[in-house]
Amino acid sequence: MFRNYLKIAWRNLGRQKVFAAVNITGMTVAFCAALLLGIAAYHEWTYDNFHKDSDRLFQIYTEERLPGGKSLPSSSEAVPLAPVLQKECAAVQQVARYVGEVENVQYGERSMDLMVRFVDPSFLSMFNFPVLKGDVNALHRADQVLLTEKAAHNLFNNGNAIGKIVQIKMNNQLKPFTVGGIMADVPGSSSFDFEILTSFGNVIQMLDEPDSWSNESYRTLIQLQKNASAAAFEKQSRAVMHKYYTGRISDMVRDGATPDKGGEVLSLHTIPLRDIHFNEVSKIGSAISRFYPWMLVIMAFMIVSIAAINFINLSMGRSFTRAGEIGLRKALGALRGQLIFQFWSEAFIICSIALLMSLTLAGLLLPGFNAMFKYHFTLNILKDVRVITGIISIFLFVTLMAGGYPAWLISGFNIVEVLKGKLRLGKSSFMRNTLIIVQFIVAVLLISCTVVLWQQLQYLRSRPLGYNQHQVISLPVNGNVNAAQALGSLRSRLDGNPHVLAVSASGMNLGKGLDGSEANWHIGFDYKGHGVKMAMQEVSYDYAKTLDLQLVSGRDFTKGYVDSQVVIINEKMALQLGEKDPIGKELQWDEKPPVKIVGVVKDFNFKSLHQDIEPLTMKLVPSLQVSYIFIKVQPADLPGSMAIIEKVWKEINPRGTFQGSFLDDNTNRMYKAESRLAGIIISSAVLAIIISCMGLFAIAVLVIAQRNKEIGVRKILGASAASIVTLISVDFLKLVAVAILIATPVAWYLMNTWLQEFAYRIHIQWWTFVLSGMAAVIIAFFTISFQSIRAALMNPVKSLKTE
Amino acid sequence: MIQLKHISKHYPVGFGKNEILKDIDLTIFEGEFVSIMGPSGSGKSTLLHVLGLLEEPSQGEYLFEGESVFRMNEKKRTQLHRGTIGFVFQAYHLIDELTVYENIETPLLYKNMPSAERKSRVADVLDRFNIVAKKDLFPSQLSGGQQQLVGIARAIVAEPRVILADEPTGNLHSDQAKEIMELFKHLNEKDKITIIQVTHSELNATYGHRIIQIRDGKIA
Repeated sequence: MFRNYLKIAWRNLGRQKVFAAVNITGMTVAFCAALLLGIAAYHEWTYDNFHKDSDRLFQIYTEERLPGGKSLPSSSEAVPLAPVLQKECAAVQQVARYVGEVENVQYGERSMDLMVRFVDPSFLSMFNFPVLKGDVNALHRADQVLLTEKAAHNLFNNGNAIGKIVQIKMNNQLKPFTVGGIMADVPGSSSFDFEILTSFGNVIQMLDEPDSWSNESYRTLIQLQKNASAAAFEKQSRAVMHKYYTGRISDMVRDGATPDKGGEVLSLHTIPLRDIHFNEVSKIGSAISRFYPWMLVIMAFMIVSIAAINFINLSMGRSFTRAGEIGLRKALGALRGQLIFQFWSEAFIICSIALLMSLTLAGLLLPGFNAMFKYHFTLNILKDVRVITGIISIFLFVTLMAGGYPAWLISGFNIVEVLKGKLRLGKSSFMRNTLIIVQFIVAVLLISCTVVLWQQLQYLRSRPLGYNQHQVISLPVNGNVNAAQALGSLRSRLDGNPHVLAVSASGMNLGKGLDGSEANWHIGFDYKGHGVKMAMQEVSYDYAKTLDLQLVSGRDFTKGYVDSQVVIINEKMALQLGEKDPIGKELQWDEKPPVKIVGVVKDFNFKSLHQDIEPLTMKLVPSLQVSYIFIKVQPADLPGSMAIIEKVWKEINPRGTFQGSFLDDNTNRMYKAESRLAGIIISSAVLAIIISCMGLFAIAVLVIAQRNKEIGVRKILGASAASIVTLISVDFLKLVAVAILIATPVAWYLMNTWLQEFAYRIHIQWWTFVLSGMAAVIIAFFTISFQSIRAALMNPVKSLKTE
Repeated sequence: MIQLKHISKHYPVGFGKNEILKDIDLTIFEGEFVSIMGPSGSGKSTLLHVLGLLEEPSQGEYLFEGESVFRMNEKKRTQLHRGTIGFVFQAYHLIDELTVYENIETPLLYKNMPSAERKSRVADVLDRFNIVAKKDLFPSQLSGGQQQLVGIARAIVAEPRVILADEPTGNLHSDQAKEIMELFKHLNEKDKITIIQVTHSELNATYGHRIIQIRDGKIA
């Protein structure tokens, strides 16, 4: 029996080439896109899931309440917090601190920049990062390091690493460490990333005041006792906060901080390990929006739905030609279930072919997909039993929907009417129209979202930030050089070079450079009896001049003055201080003696446009161990200037890598997440439109075939070709118009919600939707016109003869 | 064998109704060869559809071997279609995607007959109708008469006890028609199959034992 079905299905594929092609191509493309998007979503959802007892692992963060009911969460904790939590909170089993950055590491003649993380020894017993060879307890000694396999392979060129001495540059000095062991490489789905692990003791050694509670810079992780809950821990930690932050809490209460529900103004909270990847506060790894993987799945779902709708519509359309067969089979004794099974098996064959083709296609496209969206996937994910079951169940569901539903509908027809050829698909053309509307709702939705996304991205990229992005090169200082000396020699070598206009430096980058790091530094202190909170940067001479910051009053840091303990502030800071003329005023925090304000600059966006501009203080540190050098060059020959600076830098720092980049590239890099989102939505929109149009095309073929006689009669009665094209197109364009009306408010709502993430955003214009709607109408019209024009130009005698 | 009691059939048209069959009483005995005749629109095809369980009457009772068919469930009725009733249509209604052999085989597939028995039955029928050479052709490759031959072969392969034929020769020229009618006669006499045919042709009607005239939905 089944063989008989297969035979029919196979012969049908051969006979109905347009439909087979539309169905198989549509399904293949849809499955392939869904597979790739699904892989991406799976990757995001399985982040950090390889640790044992992961439900007991948390990152902690401090929530600081502000006046007016807002709060400021921060995952930067003080050094002594970890041991105190271990001792004073019964719910805590283990604690580990985690900090670090890319440092220069050397072995013999080899030198490379590796991600070095300083952690407590408990880190390895809390998390699943196995030590493969050597001493498991290496982190108990401050002079030992653990290398990942890949780092060891690169640094030691395949040689034995254990017991060898490597030099790591810390605080501008090379420090020797013994390699204690080799660790497995960190999986791609880990928020924690490191190539070298060493003891947190090294951080403590470098600090002037290791017991200070005001230096808050360290991520802190806890493992709870077996039966303890996160709530219990948060409750126990209240006593700790009150005990160690007595002064700060009373200052906050004085400044009018609104307490939270529990009556606290400064409290500890937890982020479950699984949420770290989705949490903005965590700052371990780069957080993504929780909505993002869902969006991938929604896109996948929409694309597959559109292909499935094609399938359903075409099957129903074809029921005209298949109806005779169905009626006959019923008369010969087929049960309805058997007929449904037969049609389902046809859908199954088409979908199976599509699935196999899409797997092949996905395999071929994966490298491109990875490159486009900055992923590192392999099809190995497909070996996971859960993924396989997922794919199979979705596949069966789609075949059931696409093949089963039309079969169920057709098999319910009255046999006699079918056999008499009286079949009228009045009801199903309502169904068909609804489905076409759904397809175009998706298409219009995606087009409008694409337009708004693109406008916002353009806006982010082109909005003046208040500093010169186009002519300034940012150069991360790396490798084994003394940063202050390097800056000095760079200045002297570039002095008088016609390409170079000014040189300055800072401890923090603007935008996101090629080294990929971003940093925040906030300081709070009291000024004239009220609390002040500000972002802080340490900078070198000519900072305002190099970046073209506009001075509102006062002056830049220039070598002409004998400056010590001086700062430049921005307008927001001046406003916060409440000073009309802040020049000459003194500020005092930990610094002794107090610093003096010498200049005020116009506000500029030193952070991404997601955030509003914060109060900012830039302090001149003449012998600064700078992290980033800024060089303003002539606008005429930008690549040439870059080449000159690269050459000079290589002379000063022969073992370092040159990672200079223009600031406008850096700011673009900050919106990587948005670009990726836009990329995915645009690709999905294109796919959705193509698949919808393929379906529309095939439906047009069917409808015109059914109206052949009508068209012939109309032509004989004197209808022009144009009027016939209109006659056919209008029916379809009405559907598209309905889709536009439904999709527009949804698109407006979605994009408006998304724009709320930005402090600086565009206003959605009405013409955006008019444009998207018109695009959909035009695309639909062209798709149909291929068929309608052919029908209109056909000789009417021919179409009437066939009746 | 078949008993119709007070069978009526009407369709709603606007506010009124269009009566196709009016109070039909009819008894057909096992082994009969009955021809139903009447002008176009008289309701003869509808009567045949009611007899074949393809359409339900609006009123009345239908006993098949003493059992009321309207009280049967879908499954039981399908059993009748599979084993007891064979259909022959004016438009042949062969499945275009299947070969002659496969078309004949289809009813047996729905009966879940084992493969070996199926093959021998189909081979028998092919042989009997002299169409062995055509078994791998598709319907579109056959002439009208040959297609109807295949249609009849398909109708009898499951060894039904009744064949319902709706103008079986309507699309054929007279030589072919004669051949088909001879075949029906043969099936009726040798195989004892009850045959009910709808026809326009006086000549074809004479092959049967009894002629039922229908006019305006009533037996005349």
